[in-house]
Amino acid sequence: MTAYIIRRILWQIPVLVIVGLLTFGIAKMTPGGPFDTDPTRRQMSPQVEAVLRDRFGMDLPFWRQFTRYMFLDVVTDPKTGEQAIRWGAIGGNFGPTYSSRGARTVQQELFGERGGKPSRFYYSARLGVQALLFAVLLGIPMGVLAALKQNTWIDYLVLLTSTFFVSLSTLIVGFLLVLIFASGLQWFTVLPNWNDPIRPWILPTIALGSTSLGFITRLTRSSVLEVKRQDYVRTAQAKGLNDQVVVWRHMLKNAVLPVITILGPLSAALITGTLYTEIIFQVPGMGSLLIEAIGKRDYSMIMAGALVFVFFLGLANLMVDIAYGVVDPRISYK
Amino acid sequence: MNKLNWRSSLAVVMLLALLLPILAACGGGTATAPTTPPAPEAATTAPAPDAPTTPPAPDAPTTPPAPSGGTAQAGVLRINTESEPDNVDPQKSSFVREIQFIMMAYQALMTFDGNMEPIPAAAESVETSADGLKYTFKLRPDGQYSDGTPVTAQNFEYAWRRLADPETAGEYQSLPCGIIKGYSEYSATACEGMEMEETLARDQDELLANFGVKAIDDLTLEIELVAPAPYFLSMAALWIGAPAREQDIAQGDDWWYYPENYIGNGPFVLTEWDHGNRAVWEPNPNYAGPLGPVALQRVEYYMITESQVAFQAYQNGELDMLAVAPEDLQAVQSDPTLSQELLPVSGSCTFYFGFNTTKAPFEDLKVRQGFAQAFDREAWNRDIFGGLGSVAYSFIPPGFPGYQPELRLWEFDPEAAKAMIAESSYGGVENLPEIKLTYSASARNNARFEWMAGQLKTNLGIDAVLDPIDPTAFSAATKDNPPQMFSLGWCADYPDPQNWISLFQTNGLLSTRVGYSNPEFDALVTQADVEQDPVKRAELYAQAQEILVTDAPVAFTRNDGGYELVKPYVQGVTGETITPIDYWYGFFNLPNVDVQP
Repeated sequence: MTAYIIRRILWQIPVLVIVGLLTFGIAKMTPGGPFDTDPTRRQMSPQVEAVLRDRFGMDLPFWRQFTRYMFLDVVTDPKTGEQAIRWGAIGGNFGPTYSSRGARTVQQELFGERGGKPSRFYYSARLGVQALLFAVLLGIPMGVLAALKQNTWIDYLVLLTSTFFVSLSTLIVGFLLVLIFASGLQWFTVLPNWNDPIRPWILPTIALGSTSLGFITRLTRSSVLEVKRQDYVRTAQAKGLNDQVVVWRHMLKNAVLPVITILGPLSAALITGTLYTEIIFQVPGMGSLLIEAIGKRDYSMIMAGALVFVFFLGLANLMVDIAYGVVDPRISYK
Repeated sequence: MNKLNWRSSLAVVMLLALLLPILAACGGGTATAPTTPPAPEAATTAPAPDAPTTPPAPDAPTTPPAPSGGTAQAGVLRINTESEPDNVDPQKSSFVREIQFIMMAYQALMTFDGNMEPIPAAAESVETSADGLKYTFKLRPDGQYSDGTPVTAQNFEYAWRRLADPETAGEYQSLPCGIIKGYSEYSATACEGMEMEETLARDQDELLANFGVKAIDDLTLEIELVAPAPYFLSMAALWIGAPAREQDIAQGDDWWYYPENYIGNGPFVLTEWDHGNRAVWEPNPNYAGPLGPVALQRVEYYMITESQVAFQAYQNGELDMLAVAPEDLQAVQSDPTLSQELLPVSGSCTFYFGFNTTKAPFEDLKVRQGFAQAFDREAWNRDIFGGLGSVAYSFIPPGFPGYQPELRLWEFDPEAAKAMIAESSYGGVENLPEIKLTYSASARNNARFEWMAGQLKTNLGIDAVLDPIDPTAFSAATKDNPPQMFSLGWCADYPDPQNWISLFQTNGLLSTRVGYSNPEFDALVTQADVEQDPVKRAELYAQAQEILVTDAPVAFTRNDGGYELVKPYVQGVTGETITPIDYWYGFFNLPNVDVQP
């Protein structure tokens, strides 16, 4: 088991490097650069741009730019002439952001506390975890209930609701919530006050979790339906076990495997920030920052976005695989 | 809860959901809306009807700014700044959203009055030598930073030196090149394109000794110029010379990120900055200058990128002022309450079509002139931009010094346009090569330029190819390899014709994008730039602008403009008192702005 986990973690490294290489290549190939700003305003002079390009090492050969970003670079102190190794992304250094003209680093922006406020990562991660819990804790029981009461009004209602959530994007659910609960009922404010520990989190959690909720509900329902017809369930019922035990011990344990499978990618996506929810609810998280970075050609931030996402994806998938073993004793790790 | 109720309420929600995409679609684009500008007349709001004589709430104890919790409070102004600034270091910034920050906390030597004339700010008075080469600023003896330390001439000397310092490499570093004495030599990377190493290898002490900005004593600052520059006082009002202190900057490259370092001499103090969400300002108790005394007790900047969210917040009473997105205008105008809160504001930008004179067929003057009158600007502004802003026939926008309303050379005339092209070396519209219209892609722009292509088709019979490209790529393209025909604009840095007309001098910032060069134009502008007689100077710029319009390297299309929603209880933000360069509407009228719900 331990060996398995270590092996999986080590495998992450080549995956990250390849994703990094692809992202870096695509970002660099896209026309326009970080210093091409709104053309209706005065542009930085070519001379100043040359100084900044040099400072960011943008004129180095592609492989040098990539390796110094990804792995390490040997830097010479201009004053003392001493040489030192500066680690790149694998050492947790994602480099200065282009948009701040080098004043701040990516890790400060994403993970650093923001002058007494929690980091952007905290906002995205907390929101993601809450949304995930919301989706799972509500979605699984709803799915089970619908499956057990198949073809009754309960089932139809659950199906309708979940289809509704799956088909609508977070953007629309988000606006709907704002219109109803903030503008209409005035239970919340449109603009959040993040000094409040609970209130501003409620609507974004629901909005962000809604699609997953619908998805998990439907998945649980169909997989419970399948399990319900299995012989072992009939056997369990025939030998007189009460319904509770049949459902929880025999059915759910088997039905939940597909749900666990999708939790991996789902949690990675939710935790690393989601654009629409963050924009609609004014959440100072990572999602909006990373998306904006693409427009601004903030290469270091774009790279960090891809790497952080892939890292969490790998981590979540690993946890899913471990969870399989817990749920299903037939699975072993070699 | 019975079945039926469940279902019927669900139906309502579904119905709403179906309507929503429409709403959401309207919200779309994060405003490409050019830096809104302000201006005009307007519903002299500021009713403050029965302003109950509530004395401004006794200085709310400066505890952590209380959440405004969605309701208007006396003395608290809440506005949307649309995005988190990337960097608010005065000597490194260039964007509107950044400047909007900097000028709350800092005060430059000069500022602007309601007519956009430069007036002393951190300076108490300024004297210009007879030859126009030396400016002597006397600082206010009572000038203080918000922490109580005095503002000295040395602070300003440091700020201007820092702007010029090659290591700073700020976006506006090249602005004073060739204007301030010794600036180009010291800032050789920015002004002369010298390599950084070579620049630094020179004797820095000597370069600084010849640098034209000098503190004579604590309250006297002398700035020497290379040649007379009557617009220099406007330049001295810009954020680039804001006196950021050495000790604050020493806190690190991102010193400005933390409110405790962001100590300035401006009208407000940054007390809280919840990055990506909001910034809270309170009056600077030590402020001295024309923008005080400040009546407001707090200003809250919200960074709302999505205009639909901001609109909801305004309607919900969580914002006191809001720029109206073009999509919302109709809804606002037909709403009995909101329509009363509209304040028209004029812009600081002029948009145009650039004709690349190095690419066929625009090397031919007649073709350019033909195109310049081949589209209906009135319809363009009315139908496509909902009447926000105004049509433009020349470069300098209304409200700015140098505006020439009578200069309307290329009014819409499709017959004349065709005739003009027939006179060209191409002999007629049918012989023109393919025309490709390049613009910055966005949902809004796509629709706009479809319309424009339709105009060219209808009026000239030309099938123009539309070429939308990603905004950043577009920006790069107009610099590095300007397309054949493209849409671009320019927004004012400071209110002086020099800030506009000189950009079209040979090798200027904008002329290079269309390959324009006219020695006669160059000569007039060079003369105007140093002319000290204001009347004569204005005349020279006017002549130059006429040549520019006649030569038609670009066809001016419209000036931006728009509407600001202002709650009736916000006082002092009226058409008469705001200018297109206010950092937020009413800023240069700050002592009179207040909120009394």
